[in-house]
Amino acid sequence: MDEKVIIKKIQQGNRDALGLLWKSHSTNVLNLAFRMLKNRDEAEDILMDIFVSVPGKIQNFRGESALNTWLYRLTVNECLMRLRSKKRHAELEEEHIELVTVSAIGSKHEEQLDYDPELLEFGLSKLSAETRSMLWLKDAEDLGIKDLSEIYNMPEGTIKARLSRARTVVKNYLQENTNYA
Amino acid sequence: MRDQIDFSRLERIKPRENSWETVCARLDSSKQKKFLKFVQARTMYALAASLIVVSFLAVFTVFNRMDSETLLITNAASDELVSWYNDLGETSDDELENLDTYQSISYLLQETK
Repeated sequence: MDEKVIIKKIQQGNRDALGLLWKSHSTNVLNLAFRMLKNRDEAEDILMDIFVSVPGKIQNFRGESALNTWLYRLTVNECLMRLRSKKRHAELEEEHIELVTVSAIGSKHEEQLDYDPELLEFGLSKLSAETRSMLWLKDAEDLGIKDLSEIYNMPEGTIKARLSRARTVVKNYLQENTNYA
Repeated sequence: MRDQIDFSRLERIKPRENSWETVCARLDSSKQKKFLKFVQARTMYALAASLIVVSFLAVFTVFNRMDSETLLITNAASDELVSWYNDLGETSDDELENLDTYQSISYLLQETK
């Protein structure tokens, strides 16, 4: 079904249209929330909160951006609000960085192709939740800089700079820890 | 793109099987809540409207009574005035000055007796 038709039907309160949106986007929303919060249960809560709020919030959606971009924006904002309200952001980062120091690291020397996924998780933990989600959306979900600029309400240049810095941090981390293994 | 981080080996989680049902249940309960709020609001509006009507009627009744009393007084006063006015010139003692003079002469005559 066409995206505009789905939007219109959800605006009219059609549950089946919301179901279609769930089928096509719930996994992406969940994974983005999971990347940001690093907690499966909380990510699931965010996913459900987002979809419960969609019928209300979509009334003001003018269709200027793609539906997935809009959903990602809702997700990022919801996750950031949750992180702020719990004041857990810094604690989570520290917790994971500490874990990294005691973790068993893979023995492969090749850069990206043979990294330990767990190691990448730890490497990503060095980034803030927002930057981590940005990197996830760009490199895993293949979103464009323009979309990211809309989602995070930042200039494209800032997005590019943050992505570049984030990649450097993660790659350096992977390289250092892989070499020491 | 060579510069990208390869996330392909990271775990990609899927929503739990009952998540969609939970979303539907939450949506239904929020609908019910909205309906209850709507009913409550309507009841409140009806009550408020009834109160306004009752108080308006009470105020209207009080004013109506006050008006009819004022009207009676006004009517009585005007009747007296009209009759006094109509009587003017009809009798010899209708003028107040004459009446006063007559009364004072009568009084003096009684005193001199």
